[in-house]
Amino acid sequence: MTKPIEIAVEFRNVTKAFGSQVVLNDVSCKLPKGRTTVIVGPSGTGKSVFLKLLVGLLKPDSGSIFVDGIDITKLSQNELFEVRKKFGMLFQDGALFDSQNVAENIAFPLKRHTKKTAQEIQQIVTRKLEQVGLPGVEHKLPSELSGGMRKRVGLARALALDPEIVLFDEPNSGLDPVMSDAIDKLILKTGKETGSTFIVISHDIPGTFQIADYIVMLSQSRVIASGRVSEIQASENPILKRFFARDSDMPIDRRFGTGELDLRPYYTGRLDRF
Amino acid sequence: MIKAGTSIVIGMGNLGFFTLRMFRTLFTTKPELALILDNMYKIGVETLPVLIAVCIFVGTNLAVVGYHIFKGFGGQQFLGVYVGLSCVRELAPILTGAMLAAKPGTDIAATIATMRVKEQIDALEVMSVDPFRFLMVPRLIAFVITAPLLVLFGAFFSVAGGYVVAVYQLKMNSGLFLSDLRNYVLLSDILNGMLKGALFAVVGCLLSTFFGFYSKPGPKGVSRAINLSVVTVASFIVIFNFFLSAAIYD
Repeated sequence: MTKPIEIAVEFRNVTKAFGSQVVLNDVSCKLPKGRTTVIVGPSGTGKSVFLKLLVGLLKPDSGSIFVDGIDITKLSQNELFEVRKKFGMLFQDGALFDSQNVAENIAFPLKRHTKKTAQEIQQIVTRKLEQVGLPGVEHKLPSELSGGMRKRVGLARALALDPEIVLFDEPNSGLDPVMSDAIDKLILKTGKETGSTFIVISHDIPGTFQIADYIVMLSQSRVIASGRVSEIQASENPILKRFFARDSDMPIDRRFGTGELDLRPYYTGRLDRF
Repeated sequence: MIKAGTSIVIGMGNLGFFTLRMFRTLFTTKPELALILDNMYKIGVETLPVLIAVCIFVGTNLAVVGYHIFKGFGGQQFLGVYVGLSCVRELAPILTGAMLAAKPGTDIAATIATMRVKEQIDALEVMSVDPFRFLMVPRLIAFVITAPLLVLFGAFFSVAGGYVVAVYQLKMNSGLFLSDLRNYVLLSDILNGMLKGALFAVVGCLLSTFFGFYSKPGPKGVSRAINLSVVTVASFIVIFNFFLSAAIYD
């Protein structure tokens, strides 16, 4: 019997709507600590909103979100800024500051939140750039980098403060298949090296199976399945099968009703089993 | 119609919260000197040349028009006080406000809107850096410090433009023009002009940052933010100036 897995993040009955459009509907899930969880689902099912809720950029209409046991929906702005120091986030296009060069971008969180000397910061910047496989680009501006390089620099910045939880917003979007695979391998490698909790949003299927320890599937604003990769792959759920087969023509078997099958009990109830 | 109405009400509400958060950040956090100086430098360098050029020609224009009006009833000797008071009290602050809206104002709206659209503001928040403290408040402080100084420059160059035309083109007596200025343009006029400039700067900076901060996605959102910023600020300043003048001099 392995020791029970700790929970880094928990969504409890979270609902979020914009106007009359419900984006997340009664979403509950637990994401384990020190592992990589990939949130998958068709476009427009609230994946990005899920991440924004998790870092407190948005507040849910109802429900609670726990980060290391703290309900972040109840925190004030300043308390939220404290909790966010646990997070590093890689945005879709890197979200690097255009006016600063690569080194300044990576040094930014270090300058703001640590008392390290310029020399120490420079060492960390060099190390992080090596870690993401881009040594020697310190003096380039973000506009001089390719999409894949911007993501790598963005990852280096996200890792600068050695965060406990690293979030990835569609790390593969807009990249060619080879670069996409390189980013996946990088995520896999850094995940092993840092031992941090990785939460990845993706709809890139081969990549998902490559990097994920766990998968949470969102569809039509709800969690329809969550579990270990092998369980998700073995699932007979027609929505899952259709999504992972990438086949829009595959019919949804009526015997399954709406196709919703909740695997949550396997995941949330018996976590120690994994 | 109803949709436009609701969006205006929502916009006003957002502006209210935005202003509140701006001033709360201003009064509760330590200002970041390096960022303020950086912004002051940028605002000054961006605005000063164009402001001086515009002010000189507004001054010369005032002198020519005023000369011909006053000549009709033999009151040319009032040209000095006319040019002096118009420029110091009204035109220098208005032109400064307009140039602030046009140059650093659009720059701010564009920068912040782009940062919003490219998720850089979200990135700041996630890195536990308050965008108000890092982006907005330094700009506000820089605006408020720089604007009165720019008004001073504007006033000087517009009056100087008027003086040059009056003396060298219209052949007025130089001593008469200057003594007019000395006797009728008071220190309080200059200070009121500078105060106006500071108030325009507060409003201008608030609106420019606001439109940038609430920019809609995409290039269209950015261009709309810039457009709204410059149009709103420039027209607001002209209207606001009337009420300020009425309150100060009436």
